[in-house]
Amino acid sequence: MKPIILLAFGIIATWSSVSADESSFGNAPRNESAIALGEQVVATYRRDGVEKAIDFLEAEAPGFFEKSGATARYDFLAALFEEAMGPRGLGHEDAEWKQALIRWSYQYCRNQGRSYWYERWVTLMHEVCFEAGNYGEARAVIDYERHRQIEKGVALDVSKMSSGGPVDPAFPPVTKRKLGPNQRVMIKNFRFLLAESGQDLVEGKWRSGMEGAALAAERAMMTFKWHQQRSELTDSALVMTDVTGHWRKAKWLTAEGYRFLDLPRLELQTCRALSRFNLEEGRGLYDVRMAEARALHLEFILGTNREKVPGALGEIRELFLSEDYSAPLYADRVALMMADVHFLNGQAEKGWEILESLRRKEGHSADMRFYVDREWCRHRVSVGLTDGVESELVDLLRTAREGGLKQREIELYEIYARLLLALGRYEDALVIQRELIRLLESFDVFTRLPGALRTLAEIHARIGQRNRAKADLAEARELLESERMPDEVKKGLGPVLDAPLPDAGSSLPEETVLADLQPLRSVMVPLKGLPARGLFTLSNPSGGEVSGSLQFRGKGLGFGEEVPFGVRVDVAKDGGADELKRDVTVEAGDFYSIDLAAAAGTDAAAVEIIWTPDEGQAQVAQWESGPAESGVSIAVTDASEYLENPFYLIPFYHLLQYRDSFARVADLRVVASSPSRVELYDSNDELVFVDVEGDGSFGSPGDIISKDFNRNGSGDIKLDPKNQEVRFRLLVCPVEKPDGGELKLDVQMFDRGEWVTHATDRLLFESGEE
Amino acid sequence: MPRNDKPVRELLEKAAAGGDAMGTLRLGEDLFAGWAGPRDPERGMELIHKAAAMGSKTAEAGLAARALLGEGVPKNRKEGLEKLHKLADEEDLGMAAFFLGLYYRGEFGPEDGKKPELARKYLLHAAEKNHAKAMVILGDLALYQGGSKGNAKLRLEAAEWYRKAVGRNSGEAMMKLSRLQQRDPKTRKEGEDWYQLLLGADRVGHGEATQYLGELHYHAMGYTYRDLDWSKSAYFHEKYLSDGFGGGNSHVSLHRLFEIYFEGGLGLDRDYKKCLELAQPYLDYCNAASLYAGRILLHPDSPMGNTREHYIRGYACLLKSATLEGSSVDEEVLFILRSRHGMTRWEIEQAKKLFRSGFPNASTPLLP
Repeated sequence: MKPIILLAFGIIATWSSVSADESSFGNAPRNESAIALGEQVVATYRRDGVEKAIDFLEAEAPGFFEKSGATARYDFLAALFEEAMGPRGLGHEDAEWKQALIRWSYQYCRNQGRSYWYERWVTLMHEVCFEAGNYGEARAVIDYERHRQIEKGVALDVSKMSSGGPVDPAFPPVTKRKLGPNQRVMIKNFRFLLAESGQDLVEGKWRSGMEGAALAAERAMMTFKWHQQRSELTDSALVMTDVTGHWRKAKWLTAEGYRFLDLPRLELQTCRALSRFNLEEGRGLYDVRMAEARALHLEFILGTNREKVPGALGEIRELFLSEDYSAPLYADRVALMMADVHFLNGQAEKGWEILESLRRKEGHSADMRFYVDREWCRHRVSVGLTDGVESELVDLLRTAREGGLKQREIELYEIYARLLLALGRYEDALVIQRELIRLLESFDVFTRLPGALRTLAEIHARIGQRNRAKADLAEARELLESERMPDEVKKGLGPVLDAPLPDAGSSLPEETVLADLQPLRSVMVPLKGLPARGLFTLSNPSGGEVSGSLQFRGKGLGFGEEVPFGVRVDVAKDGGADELKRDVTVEAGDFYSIDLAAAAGTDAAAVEIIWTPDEGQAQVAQWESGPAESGVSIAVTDASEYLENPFYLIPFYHLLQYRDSFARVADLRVVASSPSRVELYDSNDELVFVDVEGDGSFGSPGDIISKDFNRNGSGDIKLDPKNQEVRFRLLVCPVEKPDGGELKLDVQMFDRGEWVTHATDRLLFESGEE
Repeated sequence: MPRNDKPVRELLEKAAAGGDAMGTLRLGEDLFAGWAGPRDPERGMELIHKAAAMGSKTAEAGLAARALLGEGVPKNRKEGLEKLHKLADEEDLGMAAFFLGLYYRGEFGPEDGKKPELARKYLLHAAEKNHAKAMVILGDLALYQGGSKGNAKLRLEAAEWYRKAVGRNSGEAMMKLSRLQQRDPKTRKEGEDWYQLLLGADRVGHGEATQYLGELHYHAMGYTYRDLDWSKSAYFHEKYLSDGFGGGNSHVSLHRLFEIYFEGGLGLDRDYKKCLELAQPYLDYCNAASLYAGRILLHPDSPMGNTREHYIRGYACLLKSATLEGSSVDEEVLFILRSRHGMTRWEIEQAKKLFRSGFPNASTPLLP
């Protein structure tokens, strides 16, 4: 090491320690004008309501900001924060006012760049959207901030971090993620990571949600320990309070993840860790108490501490009832646990007493109302009291969809299938149970699949399809024995799968089994240089298998390569036939895919598909392809007509062709001619978005954006340059029968600043039907 | 006393011409190092020898220390060491004691091994003779020995050494005492204020303090956002860059300035134009300059306009940033932005062509 030779010379100067005139860092007095303006905002709200108060903010705040310095700006926004969130603010009495204030502050900071604690507003804004059930908007808030972080190089993306083995050896799929060696992270980054993990969890992305929570918990603990050893540092107390809050939230999220996966032992372990947290006061104490209550509840479910639990839960509930501010909500949640314990304890009367009293109570939040009614349905079905349950479940399903929690539907489908089974409506139960399994697969909730397959087997057995039931059980066993299945599921479900299947029920279906060929008409314009394609499905929604023949009429037809559960037909092929025929059998609840492909360069082609079942009427579907489109590089290439389908959700299959040599995404939305719920799934059958009204925007309560790779607030699908086409699927449910009996769905892509319609689907309602 | 280098060289020239030994030595040192004016090592060494010949013991000590390294004089460690010992031990010269302190800490090369006890002895000697840097090093040593790990006694000792050096107008000591007091109130004496100390360090030209003030007002750990002010952060970071103290750390100030002008907030309005002005001269080699130029040109609310041409140029800036060291632009950022703006194959090709032609760079305007 070579030093620089410095010759320091003896300059003597006096140094005055503090000048009385100068303010020091962090001790500026509160700004009186900021406080006065904040008071005027509150006075306007008290006098004229939310809308006028926000108008006042819009009119007065920009001028104030313009002329004010940093401290004054801060003080004004802090006054708004106190009003929205503080114990003395009116925000905790009026949720609309709280949301309006946070929304205004967030938007102002984001758009105008006067971002006092901007990151703090991001997580608050996320909470506001979350509480209001606007999950699509909540995701957009997360994604906007996430993109800022990516550009700045400070984003924490757990999916891209190297893995350091399982977080808990009992559940290997969730792994510890490691920060990169040069990754700059601050405490605020972990606050954001927790918000994002919470968002992931409600969207059913349990792996990333739990991995994010685990990373935040680990870092919180590490930071806590570092500061614990340095009590002399002035900011340690602040930091330690902050990070312990993060740790608790991370533990809650982990427990929620285990609950979603139905892993009660791991959930119990997590709740116990949280309940042991030493805290004497503050809002964090509520979380600790709730963790204690949930741990007791789980212990009871798992058969331990049975004598102690009812009394202990009662004590926790009393503690909550003796507190103010938000505590009653916690008390009700504990009451629900108590009801469950009474049912499990064989004291149904006490359980009903609690549930009925909660059902009668007014003023529940939407969330609480959902849980109370769901528990009521669950217990009614479990004790065989089925009256009134179905209509209640339908309402709950509607509420869940309005609320936007797609993953919440899983529990409702479970209860509904059990109900239908109990009512002897096996065909309906089969449909619902299949939808449940599709949902579980879509969210990769593999831990619950063996149990769902066991129920499916029971339904098949009831219908009289014993072989099918045995196949379901074999599939369940195979899953159960897989390496990634946690031990607690293996131990818990093993005996359940081995239990004998029930005999066939007495109310077997008598009506003729029908399959359904869809769409009835499809028109396709391929991209220049790419083949024209057509996608059709022959689905069998019934409980029995269906057989018949498929006939294809057109020019130059030939069967293409073999595909599982379907057929590929090449069109306009040299030496091809004018007619093809194939016998087809579709298993109960299954479908058969028909994939038409005309070689690139084919000017125009047409094919007629005729399905003739062994019993029942024939169905005809038509496919046409037009001349190739040039000058564009991406297009949704088919438009279809569907007849109303008896399923709850009507599927539309689409193909998107592209020719780019680089990876990109296509922003997609669907605009319906009348209000309709639209769900879009990608080629892996993973949810991309839910638009509850089908209006093409994602700001309504219940809207979900699950995939937004380019983080611009619209759902999108990835276009892999290795391929030139990608399939996606819409599931549509009209809110009401449209006028004129026709629903049009414009499938639109965002192209250079504009939404452009690339395909229109039509849903035709048969006359006379509601 | 605020730092002002401008008249220094002029005054020293006058002092040297007048036959003042100290003036001759300081002018020689400044010319050798290139401080307060152009560098002229040859004349610098001539003047240092001249000062020694005029009887300056400090100049002799400097020449002896240079002999340890062979810097400007032939390397002769033995003679250099003997001379320093003679000047320190026999003639009680503080500067020689300081060099010996450094020597026994191993800072003149590893050949002779470190001797911590001797190092401390000579640094104490130098400090007794009011050598400010020796005091700062003694403060640092107290922290290394346990003060930074929570030993309160050693922290107080460190503070005391820094305090003494502050009395000698050492900017470095002001900065170090300030940092210590900021985090540990027990090291403050009545009437002392860590923030004023930091401002003092900036005033005497300690560039590190100037930059730290910029960072402090950007995000001070342990303080609320109320205490921050990005307009002050911008002021200190710009001062740091314009004072020419940048060196290896100028990228820190540059990155921060891009960020706060791009984001806006905490007392500073968003200013994309300012951000682009700042970026332009650094476009040849600074990844952040290209990154922020790209982010602004691709921003949908950019006051620079948002035509397809803006997007093409913005994308080219990101391509450039991705090739520069330390860039956070990776395929994911490129993927998100080209997808968000629905950039076509033709547009991507145009951006690549622009980038291959050398765009962006310091001399070509970002927008035509």
